[in-house]
Amino acid sequence: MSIDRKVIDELFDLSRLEVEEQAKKVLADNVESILAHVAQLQELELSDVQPMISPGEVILPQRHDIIEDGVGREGLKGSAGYEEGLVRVPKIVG
Amino acid sequence: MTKLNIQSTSITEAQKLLNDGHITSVELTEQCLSKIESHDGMLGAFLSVDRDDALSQARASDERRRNGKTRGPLDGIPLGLKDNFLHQNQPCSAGSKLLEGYISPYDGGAVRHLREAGAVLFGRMNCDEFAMGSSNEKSAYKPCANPWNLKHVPGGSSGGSAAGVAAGMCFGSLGTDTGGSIRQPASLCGVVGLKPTYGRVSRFGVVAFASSLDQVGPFANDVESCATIFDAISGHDARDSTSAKLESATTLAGLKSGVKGLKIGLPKEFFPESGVDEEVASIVKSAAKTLEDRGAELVDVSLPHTDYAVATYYVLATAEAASNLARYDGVRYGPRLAESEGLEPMYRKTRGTLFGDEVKRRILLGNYVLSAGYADQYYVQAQKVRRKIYDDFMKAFEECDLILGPTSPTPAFKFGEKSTNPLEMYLSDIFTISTNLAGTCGLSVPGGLTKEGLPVGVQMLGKPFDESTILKAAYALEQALNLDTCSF
Repeated sequence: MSIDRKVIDELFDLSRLEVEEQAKKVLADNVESILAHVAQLQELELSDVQPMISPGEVILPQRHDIIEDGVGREGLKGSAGYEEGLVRVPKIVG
Repeated sequence: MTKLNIQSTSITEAQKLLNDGHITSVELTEQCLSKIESHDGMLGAFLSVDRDDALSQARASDERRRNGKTRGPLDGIPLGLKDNFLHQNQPCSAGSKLLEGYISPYDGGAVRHLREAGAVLFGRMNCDEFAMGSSNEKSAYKPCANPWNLKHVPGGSSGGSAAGVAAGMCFGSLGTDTGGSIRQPASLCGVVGLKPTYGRVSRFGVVAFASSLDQVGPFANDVESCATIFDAISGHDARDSTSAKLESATTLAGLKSGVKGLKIGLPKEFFPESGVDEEVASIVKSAAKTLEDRGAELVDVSLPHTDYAVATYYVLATAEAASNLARYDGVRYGPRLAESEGLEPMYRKTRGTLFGDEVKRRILLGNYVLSAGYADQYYVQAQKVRRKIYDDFMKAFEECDLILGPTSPTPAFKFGEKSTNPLEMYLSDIFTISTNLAGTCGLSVPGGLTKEGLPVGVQMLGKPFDESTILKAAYALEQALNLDTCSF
């Protein structure tokens, strides 16, 4: 199957991926060939089948509203923009 | 000091040597570290090793033993961790340049269990980037080879975890299995690898790939060691909302009770007329016969949607991956690029440059199948096929206690053999993927060697939360075959 060039551009945009034009073409070709394989799923008539989201129980676990140990701001140290318990990012508003 | 052949020493045997005072944990750890120093240059199983931290843990274990406070069968035993487990104050890159230099702020659930059990945890074991791959060729750092033949891949994505164990660099290790990433490298490296039932082991503190498919599990050179590690890491964890509310497993208890009367299902879809290497098929059939000779009953079963498993998986896994990996944007984790150009360019440049091609491919595919206009056609349809695959397993398990077949259609392939065609690589997971979709448990246990001397694994799949049965059958096969471990 062939994906429209506009859709390809939107896909890279949506995925927040900046890549060279040549690499973009190779990746887009790969996605097309995988989608061609995936198209076999359409052979199956499954209108009466419930989708399976997860093999586990899909329940929302609840717990008491008690503060437990956490990593706090120390957990932000893995950021390249970490400064004194905060994360510096580029300017967002003018 | 007792010099051990680590590959052929089980955790139970090592623990006895420790208890009897024939060796210390420091000496065991030194032997592992020494093997890594002398041999890992040509293997590539480890991305890094913190020698001082490992020895410090070993000294603490020896101290506990001297004081009569040994914690159990894993106390003082050196184990390795795949590079996608958070291990406090140690690097965790998930094999990616996007997480280069990231230091874990806390221990994950399984790691915490192993620490409490007194294991000596060391090393960041090589893997495909973000656990996406079947050969370890997608590691952003370096390739990992197969210790049985260095020209061949170890499998993936937990290739380093399997290769390091096979090479005797640790007594066991942890990996993750999203579509076969424990069982396939275990098969290709001639070790035992267990993918527990979804929810059986905490995923807390593991770098997420596809959250409804990922599961943590152990590698070891023998079944008993694998069961020992599994029992230690299993159990409910409130920090993982998908963790099953069950106590720790106790698979060791019935491990040696034999297979008499056990019904073993052989799905016809796992033994096709073509598509499986002849030597692989022969070794797997012979393994089934060996178990039959020991009292098991072989029955024919069917998993009719097996042919759709790869397509289903590559829709669902990529959709979940695209969402999970959205968090890596240069803000909270790892390095950032083009910061001076503004927020959006920083996101795009950081992700576009630091993610490898396989990861980018899956993010693109995942976002495509989730996007408006395509979600019903691909994503919802794949969820429905998933239900059919699950139903197939439950129906088959009405006829048998476990399912047996090949783990991988081929033995370990050579570097580069499949790396240019992503789809061909994906299809090599045909026999492992359906287990993740159904959420059941499975393992790979060595079944023999090809004429070329490459290992072939036998896959055993069990009912949900019935790891005991597949471990028991794997133990019976291991005892009957009595195969040599890797001599690397």
